[in-house]
Amino acid sequence: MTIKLALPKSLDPRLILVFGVGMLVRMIYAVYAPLSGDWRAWYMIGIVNVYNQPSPIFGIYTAPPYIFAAFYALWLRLPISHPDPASIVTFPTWGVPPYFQPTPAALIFVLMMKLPALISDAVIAVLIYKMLGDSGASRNRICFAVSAWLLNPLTLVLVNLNNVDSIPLMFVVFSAFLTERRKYGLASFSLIAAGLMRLLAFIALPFLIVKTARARDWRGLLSTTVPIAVVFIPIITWLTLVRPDALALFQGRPGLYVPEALDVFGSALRLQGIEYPENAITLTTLAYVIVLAMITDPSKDSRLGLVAAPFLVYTAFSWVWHTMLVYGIALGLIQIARGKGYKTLTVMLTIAGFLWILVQVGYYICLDQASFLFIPLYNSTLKQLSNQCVNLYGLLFSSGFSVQIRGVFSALIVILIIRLISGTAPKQGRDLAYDASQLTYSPTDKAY
Amino acid sequence: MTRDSKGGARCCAPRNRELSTSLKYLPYDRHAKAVQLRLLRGRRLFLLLLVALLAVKVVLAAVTPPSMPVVYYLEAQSYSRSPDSGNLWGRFNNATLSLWYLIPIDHPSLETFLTSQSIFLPFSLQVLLLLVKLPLIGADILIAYIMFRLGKLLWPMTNRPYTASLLWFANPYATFVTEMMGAVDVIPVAFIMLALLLIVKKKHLLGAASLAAGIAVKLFPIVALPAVLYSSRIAGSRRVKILVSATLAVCGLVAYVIWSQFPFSEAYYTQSTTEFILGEQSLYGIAVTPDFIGLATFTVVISYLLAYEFRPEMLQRPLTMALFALLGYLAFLDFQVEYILWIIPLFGFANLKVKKTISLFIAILVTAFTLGFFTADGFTTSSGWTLLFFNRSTEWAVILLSSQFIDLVLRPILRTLLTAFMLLSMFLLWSSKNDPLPQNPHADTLAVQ
Repeated sequence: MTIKLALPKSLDPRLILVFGVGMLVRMIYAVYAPLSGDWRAWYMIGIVNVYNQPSPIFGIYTAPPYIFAAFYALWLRLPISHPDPASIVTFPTWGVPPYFQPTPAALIFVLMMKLPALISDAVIAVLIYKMLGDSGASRNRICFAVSAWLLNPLTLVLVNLNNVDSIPLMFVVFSAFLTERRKYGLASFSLIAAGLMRLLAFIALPFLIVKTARARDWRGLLSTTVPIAVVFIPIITWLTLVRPDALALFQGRPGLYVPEALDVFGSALRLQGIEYPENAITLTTLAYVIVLAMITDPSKDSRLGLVAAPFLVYTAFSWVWHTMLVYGIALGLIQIARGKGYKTLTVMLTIAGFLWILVQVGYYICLDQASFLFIPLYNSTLKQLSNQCVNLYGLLFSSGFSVQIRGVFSALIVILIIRLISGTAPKQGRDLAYDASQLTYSPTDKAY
Repeated sequence: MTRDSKGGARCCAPRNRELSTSLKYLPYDRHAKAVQLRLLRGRRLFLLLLVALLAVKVVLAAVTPPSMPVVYYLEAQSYSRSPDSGNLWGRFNNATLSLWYLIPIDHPSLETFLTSQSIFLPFSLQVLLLLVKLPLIGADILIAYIMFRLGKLLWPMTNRPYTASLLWFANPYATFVTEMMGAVDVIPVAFIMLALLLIVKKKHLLGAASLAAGIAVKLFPIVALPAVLYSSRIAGSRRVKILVSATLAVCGLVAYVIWSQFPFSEAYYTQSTTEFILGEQSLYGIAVTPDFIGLATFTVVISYLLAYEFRPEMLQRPLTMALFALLGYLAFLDFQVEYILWIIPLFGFANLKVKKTISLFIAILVTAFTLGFFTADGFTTSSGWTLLFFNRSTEWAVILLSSQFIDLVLRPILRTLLTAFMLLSMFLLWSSKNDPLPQNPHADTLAVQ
């Protein structure tokens, strides 16, 4: 028996280069970038509460800490020295030299702990490639979209800034991939897996349910609801009844994520002022319902939209913390690659998104112990510069510049939602196989 | 067709001459003469009107009580550490003041602007006001001329160029804002119009330079930048040329930032703030945080994206697209009475083609003026006399302008109506089957002939 190691003939060599360079850059950045609060929390819970003090499943937290614990165990088995992890993770001025003199062992430790996120990143890139390939996109488009994910400074920073969201995001993108193939049951499972890490992921489930119901696809409806009945409801019920403390931890900040997704709290268009809350309209909820109604129209066939649209609505209108932007951007890049003007739109989205996070998390640049842009703030020679950064950040923040950046970003996302609703996405490759009437279809750029 | 020795077509001039000679004897001759005569009469009437209007404008510029910004800039140099005395407009005012001191007339204290109890200022101060407003009057005339030229390009054998020009020059709103109020907005508007004229004449780089100059004066011409760049692109300009155009715009932006001393000066916190912020109306409230969405910017971007997505032919018409984006921008921008000036020239052109927008045009101007009247406390000046020549302290004015009904009911309704009218205008432009502002005037010219 011989094993064929050759790559598929259809695989573009440029993709291999992009993939290699992109992952290498991400690995280097992941090792040297400062450690975010979320990463520290998940990691600490994983190591301290799961590995060192084994507790019942879902006793403390949900899936991610167990992933961290597994990789921690793997690291312990490596034939290298094992410094105290606490001294590395809590190192106050993590960043570029001279503030940090990393030893090889410390670097390997950080790399191991960030490996789940890096693997998720790579899987997302593969899924983008597969989804665009299925839809008959040209090689240029596929290559550009994969590059826009792997070589994009915005996604590089967004993913590595938190280092945890790429794991649930991978399940969300996988769910979109499965939905495009009409595998609603698996897509539902995937969304639930993502939702157990970030409750936000559940916002796509109603789209799948309503779509299958309105299309009278009873089998699809059953496939979608079974995972909810079998996995989601029992777990949430058990957590609610037995471990409410775990549920609170699971939510992070109590009541934040799902209400944040539907934007019950902050993002209201107040018609009569704050003293009349009954006259306030929650914009995200309004947009969510309208998009739900339009995209699940049986006459439309935008299956990517079933998963992508709710996240895009959330990104466009909600009170969004910068790390959550990545949910909209990953799916947005796929939709952009399917439409016209994909290069311009990608560049615009990247610039607007980058400016937004720069403004929104300006204190990461100016005030925190280390910047994700590696500005060493405690360097005395650069102290003046950092003070200028503080001044500039304050001015930008108070001037409303950030508001305008958000305006540009939201407008770009809204046009993607409109594209999804209007069904401008091309027919999927899988559909073409069934549909003999599509013989004139040509998977070239002009087809879009 | 006759050909030269190299086989190419001969120059068209002799052939055209022959053609024109033969046309003399055609039955259309009488009609053509009548048209020419009508145009000649129209031109004379037009020139007469222009002179009369210019005289009115000059008089109004001199005798109208000075608005707050005019007084502020004239007196800026007397304020300690005032950054405005050093910026472009401040320097111009300083120079004007120096020139005024050289004129052999009385030079009363500038404090007279604040203390004068009379409706008319002393003659020498009126001369000063006129000197300060001269560039504005110049820009006003330039816009009228550009509109005439654009009209000539679009509708050469009609009276429409005169109408287009008068829609601007005889517009009472434009006169009020420019000559009476003394708002500088007319200068960037002139740059925008000049840019569009150059674009229509296929001089894209010069057009971009003009737009950049407009951006350097005030930020809002940047709204028209995508329309200019895109039209340059579809006209077949090379990428380098487009890049140079974009760079020019960036230079304009840098110049604006420098002369307004953004962001490290007090100027940033005073008059420049409203200019820099592209619409501070947020979706969620008044406070400004990164989670709020700047609706004005949002609307501009979505306008271009929607046109790109569903009506790409709109992007081929820079005048229409610029008007479309400016309307969206103004619909959600924080209201200032002078901002409406930005759309008047382009809207005037649109009215000549899309008749449905005329009523909306009038409605926008009337609503904006009324809203401005109530927002600016009846256009009160620093002396207590208003720009409309009535005293703010008169009994009826006190009753009218202090009414709670205005603040709680009328102003919000007027502001909403203004936005609604602008959005409706956008809808009409979007859905109009007529080409309100043709892309290629030369093609249109041939069609008319």
